[in-house]
This record gives sequence, structure tokens and C-alpha cells, in this order.
Amino acid sequence: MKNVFIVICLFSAMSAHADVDTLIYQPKILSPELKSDLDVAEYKWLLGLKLGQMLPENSDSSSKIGFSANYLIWEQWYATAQIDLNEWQLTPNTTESAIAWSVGAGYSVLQGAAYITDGLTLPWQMYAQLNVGEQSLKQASSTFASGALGWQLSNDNNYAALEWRHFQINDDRLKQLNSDKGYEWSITFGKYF
Amino acid sequence: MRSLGNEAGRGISHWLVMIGCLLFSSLSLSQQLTGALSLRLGPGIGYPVSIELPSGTYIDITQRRNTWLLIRDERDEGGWAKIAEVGESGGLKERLAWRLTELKKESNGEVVGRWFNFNQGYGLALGWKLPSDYGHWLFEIEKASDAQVEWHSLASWYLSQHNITAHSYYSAGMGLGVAQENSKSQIFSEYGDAQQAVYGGIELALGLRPTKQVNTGLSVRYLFAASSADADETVLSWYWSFGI
Repeated sequence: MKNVFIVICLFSAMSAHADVDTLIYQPKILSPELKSDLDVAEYKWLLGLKLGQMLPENSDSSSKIGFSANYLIWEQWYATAQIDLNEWQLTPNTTESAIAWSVGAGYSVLQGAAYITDGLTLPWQMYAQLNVGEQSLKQASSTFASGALGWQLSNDNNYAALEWRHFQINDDRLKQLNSDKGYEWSITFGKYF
Repeated sequence: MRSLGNEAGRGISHWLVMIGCLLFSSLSLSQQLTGALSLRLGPGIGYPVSIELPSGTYIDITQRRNTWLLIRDERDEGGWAKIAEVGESGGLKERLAWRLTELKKESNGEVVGRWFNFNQGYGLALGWKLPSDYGHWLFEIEKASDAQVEWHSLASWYLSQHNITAHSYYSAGMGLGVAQENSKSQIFSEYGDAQQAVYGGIELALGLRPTKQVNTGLSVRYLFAASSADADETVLSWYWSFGI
């Protein structure tokens, strides 16, 4: 009860000092820099299809496919959401499918130019990404965390990315096999929207 | 008769030119530069400059990615430049206009995803944030599962939010919730004692709002159970949130 009383006191003190916006409308001059209604198509989404291979510790490598959606937030920062279908080779003769979803954030660390042929030079960027999420393997769901480094090459609104990722999964069965962490590589083809 | 036919023809061609002007002026955002403009290979200052357009060049703006514009010249050569730089080079039509801007915009709220960590592991939360007179209501579902621990919670929070700068804010608030934990969990209960708990709590948060649509921040919550018998009654948890 003492705790509840302290919280109520704190909260009422806080509300009493809350600012009240009485001005609802004010005129504003549109300058070119601030003009948000610039009549140009805006591309802020990257949607891609991913193919790759998982390399867990103490376990055989296996294939994976996935879908990724990135949203450009501000300057080099972006938010990301991914859903993957992983094939786990936990015993020599059987594979088990797992669905893993994750959300996270990424940052474009380096940018540069790749000379392809005369008259064709494409922009590339190296990015770092952190994800957290969940994997469902044989009806047992467990938390999933990963960090990735990737290299993306783009042409107009299309892109291809090569990625190297370290993952850790909090799954009992994988822990018993010492396969709860490892690496994966993937290649993603996608488009800006 | 001939003069009447000529007048009718002139009238039709006049209207055709008018319609054509209207159509093409709305399709293309073409402008003549009044200063030089450097274009980069990609939308970022890390990309090298690929072409420099001299003053007097006619440009088309074909695409935007955040604060960067894709520019093409008359020969269809292109590159990226910051909106501010395009404006300084005369690439944007100066359009001084008065308009009414809403300071308090009606909103349906935002979806908030959170990753959190407390003494027994970490988990994920999904919530709906609704604006109210002095702050926000947040309705949230939480789920944490470690190797053996399971924790589910449904909570409602009231958060009072204040701006620090144009792109940053702090908030403070309080909440009430119900939680269900399994027998391996020792958040509000002893080991081996699965139970439901009603809890209250306070939250302090610091956040960034880089654009109007998204926000991210760090917050700390101090929770205390109202119905716990003899176990730990308080929990400190850390949250990283992302709202859109």
C-alpha cells in the first residue's frame, strides 16, 4: 500500500506540471527545405527474398529461406523485420523445420562505388544489424537474437545483399546438442518501394 | 466561311495547348538550376560524387528517399543530392505559401514493439499507444520465455510525455497489470509455485523521434506485486521500444 501511495503522489505531481497546448493552428511558411509535400514518389521500404545456409555449432549445415522488410527511418538508420524458414539437421537422417521471426535495427556503416563495366558503376553499402525474435522448433518456441554484417549492391530500385550473421537461440534441445549458436550466410534479392 | 473555320481551328489548338501545358506541368517536376549541384552515386554522404551539374541545367526530380532526391538532367544522367542542396542550387521551386498547420494532430495512435530484460531473462511486448489530453495510454501484452521460465502479462499504462528537443522526449507514468508465471519462474513467486499476480508499476523513459511516424527509446520499469504472498515483491526491468 505504501508503494501504491508513493506512485499516486508522484503521478499527480507530474500531471499537475504537464504543459497544455492551447494553440491548435498557426500559419507557417513553406520553405523548400521544410516542404514535406514535395510532389515526388518517396521510396522508404526494402522488401527482399532471402536464400542461405545455417552453420550451427556441433551440427550439420542446413538450408534456409526467408523474407525481409526494411524501413528507412532517418539518415543511415533503418528498422527491419524478418521471417525465416530454417531447416535443422539435428540427427543424421531427419530434418526439422522451424519458423523464426525477428525485428531489429540496422545502420549503413560504409558506402562506396563498384565499377562493373564502362559506364556502369553501382553504389554499394556495408551494414550492421541487430535482431531479436522467436523461433518455433517442434512446437517449442524460444527467444532468438542475432547480429549481422552485410554488403548490399543496388541498381536503380533493385538490390542484392550478401550477409554473414551470428545467432543464438534459447532452445533446450539445441542447448543439449551444443548447437544453440552458430553462423549463417544468405543472399537477398529485393526492391525499394 | 474560311475566316470562321480558321477561328474555330485556332480556338481548338489554343485549348489543346492549354490542356497539354496543364497535363505536362503536373507530371514533371522540372526546374532550371541557378547554381552548380553535385550529384552522388547513392543517397548518402559516404557515396562518391558522380557528376557535377553546372548552373542553367534543366533537371527532373524523379524519386525521394528520406532527405535525398534522385535528380536526372536533360541527357538522362542522374545522381543523388540532399533536399537542402537542391534547394540552394535553385532546383526546387520557391513556393512561399501560407497554410494552416495542425499542432495537435488527431491520431489513431501507434503500434509499439518492445524488447525487455529482467532478472529472469528477456522477452517481447506488443502494445497500442493512444494519445490522450496530457499523455498516452498504452495497452500492452508481454511474453518472456527463458529455457524454462514462462511469463505472460496484460497491462495498461498511462504515460505523460514531454519534448526535450524537436526530436527527443522523456516520459513518466504508471500502470496496472496482471501476470501469469509458471512454476519455474521466480518473478513474483517462489520456485515451484506457479501463480497469477496483480501488479502496479512506474516507468521512466527517454526517447528519440527522428520522423513524425517513428520513435524509439529506452525505459526502465519498477514493478511491485499486490497479491504476492511471501516471494520477491518487486522487479526492475529494462525496455528498448520501437513505435510506428
